[in-house]
Amino acid sequence: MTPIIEVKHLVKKYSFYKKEPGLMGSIKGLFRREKLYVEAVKGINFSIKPGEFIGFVGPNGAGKTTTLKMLSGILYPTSGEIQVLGYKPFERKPEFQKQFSLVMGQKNQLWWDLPAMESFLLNKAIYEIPDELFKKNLDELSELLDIKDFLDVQVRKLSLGQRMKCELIAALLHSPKVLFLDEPTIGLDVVSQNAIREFLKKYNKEKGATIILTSHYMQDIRRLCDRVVIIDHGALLYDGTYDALHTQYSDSKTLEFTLAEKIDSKEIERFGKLISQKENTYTIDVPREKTAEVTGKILETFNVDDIIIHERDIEEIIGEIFTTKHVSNHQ
Amino acid sequence: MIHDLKVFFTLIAFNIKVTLAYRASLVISLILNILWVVSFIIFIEVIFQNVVTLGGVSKGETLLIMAFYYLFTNISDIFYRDSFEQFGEKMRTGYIDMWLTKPASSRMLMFMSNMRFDYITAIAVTVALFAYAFRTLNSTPDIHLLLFGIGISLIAHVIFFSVLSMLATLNFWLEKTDTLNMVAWQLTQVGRYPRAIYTSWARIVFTYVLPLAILANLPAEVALKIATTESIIVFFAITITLYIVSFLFWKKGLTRYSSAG
Repeated sequence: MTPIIEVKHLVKKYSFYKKEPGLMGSIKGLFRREKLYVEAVKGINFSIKPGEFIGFVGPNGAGKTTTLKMLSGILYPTSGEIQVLGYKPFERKPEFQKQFSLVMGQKNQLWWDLPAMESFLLNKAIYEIPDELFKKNLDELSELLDIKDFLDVQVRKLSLGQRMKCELIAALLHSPKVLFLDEPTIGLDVVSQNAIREFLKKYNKEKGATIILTSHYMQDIRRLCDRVVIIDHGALLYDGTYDALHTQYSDSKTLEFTLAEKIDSKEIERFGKLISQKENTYTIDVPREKTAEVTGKILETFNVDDIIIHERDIEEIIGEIFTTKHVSNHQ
Repeated sequence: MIHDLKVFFTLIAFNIKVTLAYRASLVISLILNILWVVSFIIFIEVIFQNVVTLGGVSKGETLLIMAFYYLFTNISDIFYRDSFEQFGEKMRTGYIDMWLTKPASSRMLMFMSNMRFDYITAIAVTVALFAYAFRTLNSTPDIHLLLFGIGISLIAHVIFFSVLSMLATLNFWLEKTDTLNMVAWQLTQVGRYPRAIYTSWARIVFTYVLPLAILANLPAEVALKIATTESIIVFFAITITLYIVSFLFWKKGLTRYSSAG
């Protein structure tokens, strides 16, 4: 299948002036200042097939948003190639712009002083959405997001969750083939986050839209994304499935078990590395390939009330990837 | 082009709705505009109590230039002044990102999205000023020439919009050009008075280099049937040149845009 998005050796460099602190530093800066460069994106490569739901993960300043902005044509790349829907995004051709949408959790496109409906009508004119399609999409999206009763309320009077739902409607009215989401659930309460996630999952499945999502919430990535792309300091560290992250980068599992009576911790350490102990409950780390064997031995040896096997925390695994800088491709 | 026109009219309707959401500012704006225009009329009356002409231009002609000047500033205040004044800040904070993804003229979306229809009352005041000017001239206006003059005044906005666009585009290099913007608006004051009062070099600069003197003067000259064919041809040539240059400069500026975090 031909990729809908293709990125080759993409680089983005910014220049800025170093400013010394204090008043004297500001005055010095009038006459002489040091120009610095930062490479926000360092030659990344990836391709995305139609209908895929991709998660971009990385710490603050990793280059996720910069990449998204180059894919949507906001930023001009320093070098490299980008193709989205067969177009070069930075050429900003209207035929391209009508086929994608961008939602940024920290910036909105709705007008504060008017109800969301007015912004939808403005988008209708900008994207030249036919009347019938506009009505159909509006009804469908407002129903799915359960926001019908708030479309005629001034945007500045809506809650953050309601505003984000309206932002999504504004972004999807023209039925884009590609959707870029930059931290869409940031700052939302748990209920709103779940509602947005369920909506995006359904939208991706039913409409086949290709979605790229950046988020700091691993719940977003775990529940929504077919594939995870990990970026740090502008470099692509991992590109593969969520499950492969565990099997490839986590060589251990955690066993948490509760015994009928407390025993000497040295007895427990025969089976694995003791991570914690609370009363009769012990947590140990065991090699992934020996999990079944060790579990069996613990059940045979002790009087076990309860036993749970945990995968390692995904945030921990990703943190390790950032520090050890694995470069991997598991598609 | 047609699509951009449709979007433009939608933006007009949109901004009228924003204005009507805050009705008090309409009333305040009307009072302030009346005070502003009346104060300048008094200023002109005082001048012409001491002189017969201003650089060879009569009181009625001066008032007509002033009327065209106010018509010009009314329209720029309504349609694009706020957007230009806010552009630098919005560019530095990355708030123009969303406009750059829209399938419509990026300059129109950047510089004409924030219209101020609370200034529409000023046009009523300007119409009264036109009436006063023609009364002072002691003549009935030739409606065709007056409409032609108004048409020239509207086209003059392309010149001013292009100049402001180039100044705004400098933000992509200089990052902050608020002072330049302020200077540009102040320089439009040059167009308030007859061109004849300026020295030859100033007249050349403000007609051909930074064509702000012709924004109100030429429409008035057209309405009074004293404009030369040469000046109208030069006017259109300057308009087209500035528009093309500012458009290309804007495109270049966008390649330098770095957004915000």
